[in-house]
Amino acid sequence: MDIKEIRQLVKMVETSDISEIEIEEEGSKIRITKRFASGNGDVHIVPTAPQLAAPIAMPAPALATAPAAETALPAAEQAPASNLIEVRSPMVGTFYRAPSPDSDPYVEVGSSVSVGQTLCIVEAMKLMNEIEAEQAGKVKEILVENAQPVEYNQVLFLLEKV
Amino acid sequence: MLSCDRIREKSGASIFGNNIFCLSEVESTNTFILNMARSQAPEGTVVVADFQHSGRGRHGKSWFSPQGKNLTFSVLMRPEVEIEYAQRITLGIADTLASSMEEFFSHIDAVLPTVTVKWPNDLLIKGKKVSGILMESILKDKFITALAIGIGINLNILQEDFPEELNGKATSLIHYSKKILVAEDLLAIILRNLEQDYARWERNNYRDVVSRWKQRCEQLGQPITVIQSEEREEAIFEDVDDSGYLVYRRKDGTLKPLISGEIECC
Repeated sequence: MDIKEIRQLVKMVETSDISEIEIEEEGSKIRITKRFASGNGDVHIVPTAPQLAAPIAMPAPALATAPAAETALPAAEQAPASNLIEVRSPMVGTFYRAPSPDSDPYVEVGSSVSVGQTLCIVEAMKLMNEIEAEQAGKVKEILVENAQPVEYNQVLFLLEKV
Repeated sequence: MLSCDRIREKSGASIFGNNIFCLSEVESTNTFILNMARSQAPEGTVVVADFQHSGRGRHGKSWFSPQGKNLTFSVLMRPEVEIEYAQRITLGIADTLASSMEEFFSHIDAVLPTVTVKWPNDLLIKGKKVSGILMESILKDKFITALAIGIGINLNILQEDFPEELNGKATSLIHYSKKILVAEDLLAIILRNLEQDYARWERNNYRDVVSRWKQRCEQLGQPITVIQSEEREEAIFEDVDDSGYLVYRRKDGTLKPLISGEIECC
């Protein structure tokens, strides 16, 4: 099974009602489980045969992010209070609160945000990624200073559900 | 204003440039195309402008470009992969642009010195910048919903027209062609090559992007200055890893990846 197929599988599990899938093929076995701890249905991949050890080291997203997701688990398991939404960094990079140094920040503590509204930018390799709110809410806390490095899955904002 | 018909006709590309908008002026082609992306513009949409009021580089740095002298445009992509994975596209685009410039010169019987790259995606000729790329994406969770690739190429601007602060740092393709260059023809080649390269990256999981980029890089093993949050550090450019991050050797001998930031070459 190649990386692309695994990626498709992860996508399929993410967008379906399936919570777990296990496939065995030519001596290698892979199990993909969906966890609902944070309510977002994070997908975790658990290779169940040693043959998969090599592909894991490859810089493919689905696999490369798996170890990061594992290490981030303790934080993820501390489920936030039910009226809070965590906005996490989808990547390693630099966090920016404004589109340019002399512009106003996208949001401040207390700002009301709607679905699809830009909250911040995370930049890596001169690629500026706009992070949008996936749920409406009110900004309760901004957890990172402007222009500071952020890790994968680091919580950037806490939003209060409205 | 550039001729959309000429670009379409010359490129022969089926996706990139099929939906093309030639504007005389715009705030920023990237901002314009991202707004179009939010209104469901298809992958391959191209916006080209004679003049950008707020043309910019990394994090708001302004990009000097007088009206009608240069080629400034944005292309919309929608790669269906996670951002950690697709960010290497930023290196891939630099290689595509460099090859396209070389191909363009072979068609007009002029000689262009080798186009080299500076991490992550500046294009240089004999150490002077000829093109810059600014990529902006909209993410939904970890996945890219839209990726705007903004490109500025110094085309017909004369050396003496650069402002003083860019003197000795910037160059233009006309400096090597010695004759006025047709922006549409260069853009057509870029769009055709981009379509082919993008199809290849999607097919081979962006596997060859880093190795191709390194073939154009002259700084490997050289001393550089690493600039992060206005802090400067002298280092050695050691490598570019599989993720596309620059790996530098610090004075104490340790290796560190550079994820965002800039380098200066000595």
